[in-house]
Amino acid sequence: MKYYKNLILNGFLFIAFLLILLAPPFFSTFLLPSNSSGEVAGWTSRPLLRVVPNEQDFDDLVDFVLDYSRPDQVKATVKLTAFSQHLAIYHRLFVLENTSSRELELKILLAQPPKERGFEAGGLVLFSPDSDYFARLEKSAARGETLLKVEQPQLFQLAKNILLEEEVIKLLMVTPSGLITSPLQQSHPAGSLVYPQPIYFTSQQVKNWATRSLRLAPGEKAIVTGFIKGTSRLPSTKLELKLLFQLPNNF
Amino acid sequence: MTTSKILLQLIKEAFLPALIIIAAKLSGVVLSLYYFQIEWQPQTKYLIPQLTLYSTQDFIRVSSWSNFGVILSLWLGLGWILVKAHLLHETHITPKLTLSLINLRLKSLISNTFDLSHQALVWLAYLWLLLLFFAVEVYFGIFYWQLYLISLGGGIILSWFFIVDLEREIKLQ
Repeated sequence: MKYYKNLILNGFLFIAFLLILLAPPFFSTFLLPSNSSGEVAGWTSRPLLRVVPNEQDFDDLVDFVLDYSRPDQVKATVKLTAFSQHLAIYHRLFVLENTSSRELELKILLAQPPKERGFEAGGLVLFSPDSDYFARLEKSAARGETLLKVEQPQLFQLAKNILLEEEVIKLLMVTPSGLITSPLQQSHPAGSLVYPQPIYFTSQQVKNWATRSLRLAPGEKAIVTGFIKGTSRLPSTKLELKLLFQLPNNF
Repeated sequence: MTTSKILLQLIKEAFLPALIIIAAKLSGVVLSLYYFQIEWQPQTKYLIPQLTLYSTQDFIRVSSWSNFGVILSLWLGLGWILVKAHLLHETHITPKLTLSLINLRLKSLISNTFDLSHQALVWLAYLWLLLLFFAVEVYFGIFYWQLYLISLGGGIILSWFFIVDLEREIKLQ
């Protein structure tokens, strides 16, 4: 009996010794936690901007990889499926949240042209959650026209250009009655879709590398929606886009 | 009931290095944050406050230098024990040095084998345990491998000095 009591007591002492031995290394890791949630390239810490990919709505049609390795930008690689002859809309592809305690300026850049060829055109729009990501032309617009009547002109605040169907047009001014732009190169019927400065590319070239800059108050969110049109020649294909979520004037 | 003298001595000797390691880590983190002017935020969700940094590079820098600070503190502690083991060990201290220490009223510095071996064992255990932890951090890229190699080199040298003293002790006995 005495033997077992000694054994238990010394067992406790041994465990106590091990605990004392292990406490400092665990304290070290706890003080600077390594967070494997993928928020900052696997390690640390809370970034200024949280990029939440929409992994629920698109199943295998969209793949995401995020990299938070720099404080002034988040890199993302997103693969979107383009369907033959169809325009696929990936609504709320990302939700972006200002997790810092100050106002942030945010824009998204396309890091390089897409390499794949199974699409005609595609793009990404950055917009506020309480607004739409596109508007429609109220009246048809003829070639050379510079005043465009759109449903919600306020959507186009802060945009330097607009995408009207497949034409990128310089935006000069937003007025309550419409948008004042550089002269149109083509005619567009009423009801055509107009996007506020999206990233826009065709299979030949990138026509717009960056979205407009939005200013986000602490805790405020922004949404990114993607769209892509497949070619008639190829079946559905995945298109890889390398994006930079930049905080240009915050550092 | 009899408790193991060895275990009790190990526990007694483990407190001081544990406190030194924690203090060294804290000071290393604070010094790195101020020296490199890194922005940080406290996280008080848990009992022990955590630090939140804004970039991976900052995290790696602070983590690496504070870890290296911990290793330096262990080198110093272990170095002092090895100095005692080589020069102030009661089994092979020189009579001249013994007299000098007695004259200086520093006789308490003369250490016996029981105390020295336990102290060295505990400090070496901490050193190698932390080197093991840090090896994992090097693997995941959150500890500069150059600093780790220096830490490992120092660890090997200090361990070697301990083995030399141990062998001398065994020969004497």
